[in-house]
Amino acid sequence: MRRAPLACAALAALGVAAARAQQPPLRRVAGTVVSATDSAPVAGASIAIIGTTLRMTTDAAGRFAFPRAPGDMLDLLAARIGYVPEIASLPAGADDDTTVIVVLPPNPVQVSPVIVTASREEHLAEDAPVSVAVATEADLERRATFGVDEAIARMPGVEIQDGQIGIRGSSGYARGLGSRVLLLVDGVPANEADRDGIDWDLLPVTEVERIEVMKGTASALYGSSALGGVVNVITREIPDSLRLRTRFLAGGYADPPFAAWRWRSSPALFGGADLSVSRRLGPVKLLLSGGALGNAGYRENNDDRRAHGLAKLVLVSSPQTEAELVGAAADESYGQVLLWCTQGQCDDRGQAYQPFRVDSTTLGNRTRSTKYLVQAAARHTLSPDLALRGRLSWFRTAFDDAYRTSTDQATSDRLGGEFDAEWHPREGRVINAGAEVTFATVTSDLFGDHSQTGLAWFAENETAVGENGRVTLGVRVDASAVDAVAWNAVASPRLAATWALWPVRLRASVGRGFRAPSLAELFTATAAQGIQVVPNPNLQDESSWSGEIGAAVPASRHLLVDAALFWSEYRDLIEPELVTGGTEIQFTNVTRARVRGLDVSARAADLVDGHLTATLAWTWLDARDLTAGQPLAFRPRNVATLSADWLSAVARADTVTLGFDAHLASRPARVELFEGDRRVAARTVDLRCSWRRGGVGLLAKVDNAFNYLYTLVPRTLEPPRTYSLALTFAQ
Amino acid sequence: MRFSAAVLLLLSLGCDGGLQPATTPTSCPAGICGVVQFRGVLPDSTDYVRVVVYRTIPDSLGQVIAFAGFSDPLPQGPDSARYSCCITPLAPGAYAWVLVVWKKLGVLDVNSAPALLRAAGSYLDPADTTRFGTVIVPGGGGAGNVNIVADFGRLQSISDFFPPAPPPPSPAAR
Repeated sequence: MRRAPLACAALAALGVAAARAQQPPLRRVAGTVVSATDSAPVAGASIAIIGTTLRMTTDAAGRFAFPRAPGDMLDLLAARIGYVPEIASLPAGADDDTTVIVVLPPNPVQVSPVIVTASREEHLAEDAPVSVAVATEADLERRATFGVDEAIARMPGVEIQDGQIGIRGSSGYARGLGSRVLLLVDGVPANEADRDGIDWDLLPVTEVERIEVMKGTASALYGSSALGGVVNVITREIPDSLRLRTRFLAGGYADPPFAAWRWRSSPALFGGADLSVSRRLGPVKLLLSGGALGNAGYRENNDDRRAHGLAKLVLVSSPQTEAELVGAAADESYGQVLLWCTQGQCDDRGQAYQPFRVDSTTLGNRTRSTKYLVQAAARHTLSPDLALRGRLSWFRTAFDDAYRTSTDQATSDRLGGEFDAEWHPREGRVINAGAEVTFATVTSDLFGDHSQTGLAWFAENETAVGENGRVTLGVRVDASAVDAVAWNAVASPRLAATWALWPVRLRASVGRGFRAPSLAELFTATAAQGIQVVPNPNLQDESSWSGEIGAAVPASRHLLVDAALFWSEYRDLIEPELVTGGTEIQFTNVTRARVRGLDVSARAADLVDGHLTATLAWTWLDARDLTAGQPLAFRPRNVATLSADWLSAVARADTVTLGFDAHLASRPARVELFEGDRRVAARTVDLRCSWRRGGVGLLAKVDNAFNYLYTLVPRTLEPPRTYSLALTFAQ
Repeated sequence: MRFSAAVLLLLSLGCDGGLQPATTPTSCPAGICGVVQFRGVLPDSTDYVRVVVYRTIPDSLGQVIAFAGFSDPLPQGPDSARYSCCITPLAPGAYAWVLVVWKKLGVLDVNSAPALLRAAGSYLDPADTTRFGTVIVPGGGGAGNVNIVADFGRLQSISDFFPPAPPPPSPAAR
């Protein structure tokens, strides 16, 4: 096991040697990126010299500069949301300064031309060999959500059920335990150390630049937990000049539509504020953000109070070195709603169930939850052919359950370190290789005192095939041990390809995924409603083989269609099972499953003289438990979302936008609990209207406008009609 | 035109259905359902009261907590309560023993079951109330009207049934 880090270091050293041996003459390449529409500078555009490690982002004036670019002929790629990516070919010019102006034509259907999640490095979205959906800053703003989970819940192929994410049916519902999706914050893993779940409120959504959702197995790049996909939350870039941003959010919930279910005399309101300030101070860019939210909740015992803060520091002293430090903290206190009240458990008013109320014996049950994240990342460009990157992170989560009949607590820490190298040995070929180490501990009266150690080595080779194709072959080897005993190693290979069959971009991939059981799944020992949950320290890894074939079709300048057929074969899925005749619950490797389906999305923009933007997304899923010969629980067969926004300029400086999201998720064929309960499909319509003048914006929205009541998980009501008003200011 | 139709179709999605109040279940869509009539005074040491079901009547203590399924905890206080069994899906087929169990506070396992689990009442054969009634759960549906009398004044240790005890006295004899 000691050989792999040595091999990695040797690879890096080999790269350095190779780079130095073939050192070409260098020159300075600088320029400006402007819009083809009005020649205005384009700030925040990604600039890369193709086939090298050199990349950067344009400043507020659209300028960029590479002081040590190769002297031979090179291709310069410029890309920005809302524009067609452009490649400018520069002739050889050793020892000269080269200045270039890159003109970007607008492309309203291009959501995000550059993504990072599909291959750990910046990549043209159209070259990504797997499906990646992106929520942009505009998407986040127009929905004015509380958290990241709400922002991605309408993405094609994504299902959020009471906070637990499933991508293309990878996860059902297990109260957030053992996520099969990995959360990254600026590329650094941030799943909880104890439960392997995701804390969506860790980052203020107002400080998120975009969210990339990589669909399908990504263990070859990211290891355990990426069995079903990856969510990469990318925080905002910090401008050179002073920037202030505030958001005030207030609203309330409608009464239940039926008198028999009304339970409170005063309205249920919520409100909160976020404030951030950022600017460059010499060689340092700094962002500070903080906010608080209070929510009375739409159900009994459902109130929520939270506060959060974020600090980001970016070092910009040298063009060769990028370094950043991110710190985030969140504190939340909320009432626990496990299940709604059924007959006799509360003042049921003669009803079989009261979905807005809880069992009277659980009133007052609360949880306090805190999270702290600190991560540092640095990337150093040694030469146009070789760049090195390192990351360190610490993530602490703690909770205290104060229930009427019991108290539980847990504190967990996750320490992570990663080092990798990006090497371009020749034109059209790039190799990424590195190693990662993680150490997680938990101290809890629920999970006991345990630790989990992980070591990983990964390498991926991407090669151009002809003029139009790229092939990627990679493998990651993960070794892990619980309490430093019984090491277990897993190899996760991946083969992927893209092919440009103008104007269609085809993609295909196949890979193996795995997920190591979380400490909570291994060691939970507790009782809930008289049922014992017992540990299972013999749990094995889950594994899968997954593949997809997809195509992106720009049907016109106004319409982009993307479709993918996907398939996954899972083994040893970890599920909570009733054991010892039904009086105990234990996590066991029981299920062999197959999930296959179709993911289609169409985005139309700039229609009707530039007024209309619309998106239609549909996911069809066939998810079968092959062990039991029945559908997998909590997977809707069809999920569809239609969104449209109409932009109108009502005065010279004012814009008004009217929009809606209509969402349908069919009734899951099976649930694992309370099968006799009435279940319905999820059907919601969200309406919004916004006004903007310069940096000031006002958004009014009504979510679930028809006050349609439904559940996604048993006996847990989704929000009724919700009114919100958001006032934003940015300078 | 087609786009407008799609918009209207999706906007109409929220106009019907959804969860609605239900006073009493009118059917038994899955598992076993019925009404439990409570008698006697609930002991102070109560952890919970549930309906539990067995495929066959257990013939040893080792099988005593091998339930085929169990209901939510029943409400404590009212004279009667409707129940629906079980929390987890109940497979179609015959269930030889459906009963209301009272559980004393404490951790339940095979060893502690005789001390903690008491039978408060069983579903009886309507044609012969001296015998347990067998309930047939049909495929794709449920078995309703499986009504039980639970008497907290006549709790019997679950171990009294292994080996099977004599048939319970008829309600008339009580």
